[in-house]
Amino acid sequence: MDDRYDIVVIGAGHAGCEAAYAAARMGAQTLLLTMHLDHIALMSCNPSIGGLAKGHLVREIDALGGIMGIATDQNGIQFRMLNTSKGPAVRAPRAQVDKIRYSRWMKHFLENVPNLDLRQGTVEKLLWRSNGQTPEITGVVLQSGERIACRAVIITTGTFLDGVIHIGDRSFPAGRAGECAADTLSSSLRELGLETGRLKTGTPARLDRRTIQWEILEVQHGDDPPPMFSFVSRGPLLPQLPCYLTYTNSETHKIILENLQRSALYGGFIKSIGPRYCPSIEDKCVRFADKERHQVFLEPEGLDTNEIYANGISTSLPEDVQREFIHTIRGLEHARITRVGYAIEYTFVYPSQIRASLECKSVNGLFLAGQINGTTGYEEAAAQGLIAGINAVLTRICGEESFILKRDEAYIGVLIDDLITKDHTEPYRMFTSRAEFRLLLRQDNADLRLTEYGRKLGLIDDARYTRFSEYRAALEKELERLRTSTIRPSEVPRELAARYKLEDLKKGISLWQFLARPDITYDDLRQLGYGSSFYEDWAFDPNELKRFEEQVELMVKYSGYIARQESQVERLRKLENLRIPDDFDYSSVRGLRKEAVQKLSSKRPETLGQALRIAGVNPADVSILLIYFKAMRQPVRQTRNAELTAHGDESQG
Amino acid sequence: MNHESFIANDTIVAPATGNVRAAVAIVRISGAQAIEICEALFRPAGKTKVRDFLSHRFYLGELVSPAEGVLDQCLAVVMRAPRSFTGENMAEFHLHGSPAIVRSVVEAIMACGARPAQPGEFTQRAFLNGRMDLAQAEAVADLVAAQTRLSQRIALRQLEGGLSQVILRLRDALLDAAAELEAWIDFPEEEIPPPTLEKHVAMFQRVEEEIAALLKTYRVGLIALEGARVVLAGAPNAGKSSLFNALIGRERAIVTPHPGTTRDSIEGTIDLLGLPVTLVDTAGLRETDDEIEAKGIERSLREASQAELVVWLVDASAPHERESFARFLAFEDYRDRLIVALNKVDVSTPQILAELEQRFRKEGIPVVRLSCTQRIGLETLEELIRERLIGTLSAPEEMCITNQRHAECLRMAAEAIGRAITELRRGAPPEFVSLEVQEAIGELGAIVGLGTNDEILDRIFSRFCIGK
Repeated sequence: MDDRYDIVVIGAGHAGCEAAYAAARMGAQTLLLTMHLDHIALMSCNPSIGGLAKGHLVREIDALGGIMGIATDQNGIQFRMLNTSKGPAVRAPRAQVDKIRYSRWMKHFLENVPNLDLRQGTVEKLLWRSNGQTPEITGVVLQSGERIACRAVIITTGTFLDGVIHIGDRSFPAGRAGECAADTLSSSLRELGLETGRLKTGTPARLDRRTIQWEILEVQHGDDPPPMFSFVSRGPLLPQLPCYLTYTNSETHKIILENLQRSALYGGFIKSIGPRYCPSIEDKCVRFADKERHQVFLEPEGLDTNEIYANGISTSLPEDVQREFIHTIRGLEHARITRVGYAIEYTFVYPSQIRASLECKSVNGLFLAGQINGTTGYEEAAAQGLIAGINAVLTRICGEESFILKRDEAYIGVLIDDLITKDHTEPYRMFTSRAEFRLLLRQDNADLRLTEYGRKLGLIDDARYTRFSEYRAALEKELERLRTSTIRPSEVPRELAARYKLEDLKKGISLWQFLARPDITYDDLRQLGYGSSFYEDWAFDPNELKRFEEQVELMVKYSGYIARQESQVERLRKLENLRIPDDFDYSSVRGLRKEAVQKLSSKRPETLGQALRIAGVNPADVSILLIYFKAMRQPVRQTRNAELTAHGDESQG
Repeated sequence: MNHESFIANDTIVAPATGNVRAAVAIVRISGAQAIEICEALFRPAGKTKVRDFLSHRFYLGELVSPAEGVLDQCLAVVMRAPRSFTGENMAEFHLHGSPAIVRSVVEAIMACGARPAQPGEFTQRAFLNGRMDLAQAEAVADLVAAQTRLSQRIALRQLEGGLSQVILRLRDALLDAAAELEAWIDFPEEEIPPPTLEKHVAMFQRVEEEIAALLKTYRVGLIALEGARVVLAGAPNAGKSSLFNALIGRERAIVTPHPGTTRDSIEGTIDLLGLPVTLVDTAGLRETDDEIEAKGIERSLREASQAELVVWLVDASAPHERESFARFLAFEDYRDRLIVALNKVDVSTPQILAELEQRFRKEGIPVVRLSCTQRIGLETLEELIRERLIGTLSAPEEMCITNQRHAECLRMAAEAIGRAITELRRGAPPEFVSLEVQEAIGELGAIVGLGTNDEILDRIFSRFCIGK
């Protein structure tokens, strides 16, 4: 008899792990299939997690109850908060991670999750039934011939789908250096009518720690105290290590340019498009020829290995050229390459074919997450994995509405909305500038934005939820106190009144207004004797008190901007909640422009909000649709999220 | 801005009557703030406050703009939700039918927080609020489509010239600034130089100045497109009606030698050297006890105050009348829109003429010598009228702003840039500066029909070597 699961996840990378964990936590019998059980949650490229926008994503994954934040904190060997000199909305944590321990930790963690089975195996093809209607996934067949029945499949194949590695003029099928590609699954996808394309990415060489002249290089330490990713972590477990910085030079660039035709990219061996924000070193030398040097960060791959990741010189040049140009770099004159850099091409599915739930529009029960959707990055993958896992359970197992985060709620919402509404010509990476409501989507408030959702979904346990609720209640209480209490200059010692320019304020000033001044902090409030007795019986630890005060200061100081963005959000909310029927025929709408009909018919947006963001669709087109749906009494109804939304909203329909 | 047409809770305003001269013009407001705005601008003649107005009942009063004072005497009507055309709270002002008045009123309403309605938006709201039946739905969709296309065509025509080039150039400069800010924000580990304060402030100021210059062309542009109202005023028997007739080219106003014949205004529209100009002949201004004549004079003064240009006629043969201008009108209010015509020069003396000329030129007012009966100086006057109206145009005609929506976008863009400068100067974090810059980019883009999409990212990747 066939094995039977609710959900099968294919691929145990960063997307697959989150998907499998979320599905199992929500009660679904889940199987996580991987081609190699010792390669779970491997970091195929750089040994780091986070950074701008990516760090935001991890904070959100954590706030929803996902694993990546905790896994990073448990296995991180250097933590920094980026952009501390800039504003609160664009600060983000970044960590160097021991990639070996990370993988091992994740495997052990998942092995102990109830309802979840891990298993080594390669999927040969998908099984489905269609009965003349939309096909519906029924299971998978392994290379062994074994069949596993299930109600939903989540594919998270990363670069493995028809992967081809390029090193100079050499190329061979592989999913990652030294690992087989998955070369049969994509034909199932094409049989199901999904349109696929090819993308390219790359990775630099790894070096032997013992052959680098560390003493002459710039050192870069982590922050003290190390900023954590998870809202529940208290501090790192592992010893902390520094990174080092060196630079390429004109000699390096000369060698690269002289050998350009031998690179897979410039020699014409690769046709696919790579990301502009993650260029190979040959790209940098060609496109920015006037730049005298490029940074090379030397990052440890782990505590128990001598391998060093050379961040900044990703390349598809042949091995001998890699060695030659690396030896021109200061400190790397005698560096020994342990693994060569390479470029890899892989198959992805054009993401306009998926819904915001990450389920394929044309195949029921088939969910896609991670690089298969044309994204890049561990964090982007994990975020999608989490959402795919949640939605596979909600829609396929529980028969409920899908869980969709909006653009004003989370970077995750921006990510997925961009995937389904935009045209993609390169792997998609998250940037803070992609989020139009950036001031609302800060890393510091991810829990306030999302933990309530995580709780409702069953991903936040009692202990964490209680703590979160206390924290949130304390915030509300404190904000209320700031609004209603007043500093009376007469009650303040004269020299303090002078220092804080309070003398002339006859009526006094509310604590809120005082704290809103740019240079005022909680320390000043305490100085004036307005620190609340509240703090004396504070139940949290000092770090949490610090975080609490920073949160309050931020909410007060930036309340004007925040209110402005919130009012913009409010104006668009109705549109976001109005659904377009799946099979809607746009050509039947009078007054709609041809270009709009064409764009809408190909992208098939799920809501009017999505429709508005499609290039080539203008506000008048959306007005017309709005009128049309209203008139035709089409099932224009609220999405489930309207109920989950904290702000609430009245129905349009 | 572009998205706002889907939101039923903001307040919109638009003239409900076309942009033509008619006896009555209606300006319509719909939305949550409609009655509030009506209350802010309307001073009822009776005792009932606006908020206590009965729904669907007309009330007489004055429309007062906080900035410009009394704009018109008019009727106001309030229609409370849901019993209104749109199903929302509505207010209407029934004004005297002058485009100049309508424009001022719409602007005053916008200053109170309303925004200009999108094409078909009143009808759309009516529909969405269930005020129309199903059969009308497609008609509404057609209407929105048609009106949008029409307004796009009109806008396009205006933009085909140099204007769109200017807007695109300004937007481009802002996009560069945004790319610099965003690169600095999103790639802290790359070697990206922090944006320099002085450079950005200087650039923003240049953009702000250019937008201000464009906004100044708004009035001129409107005149070029819609024409202007030119009021002929002066003491009784100065020859206003003769001039009116001479310019109109046919006998329409009654001309008699008795002072005070024209008791009401008479108007006619002519093509004055390519400009649509409405000439308004008014009752002569003098101290009087005659109640009817006093009403005519009051009307003349109102016409003069609302006109784009006043031609003040002086009877050069009767020098005792030469003081009358200052008795009725203040130079300060008219310096930019006044021409003095010394009429009946054929029966005057060189000494009187020189004395009169000097008196007005001293105030910086152009003076022209005229004889309506001898047809002297008419062409000079016409040229002078044209020059005063559209200037020695500071910009070529195609660079003029004529569209209220464009003007509104420019105003919003200028405000956002102003805030960006303030933020930069106070050392605000870059994401706050960027917020304002992107708002300005959005407003300028809305004029030429461009969103931002990935333009900022594209610029970052082409200008900075990003990526580890």
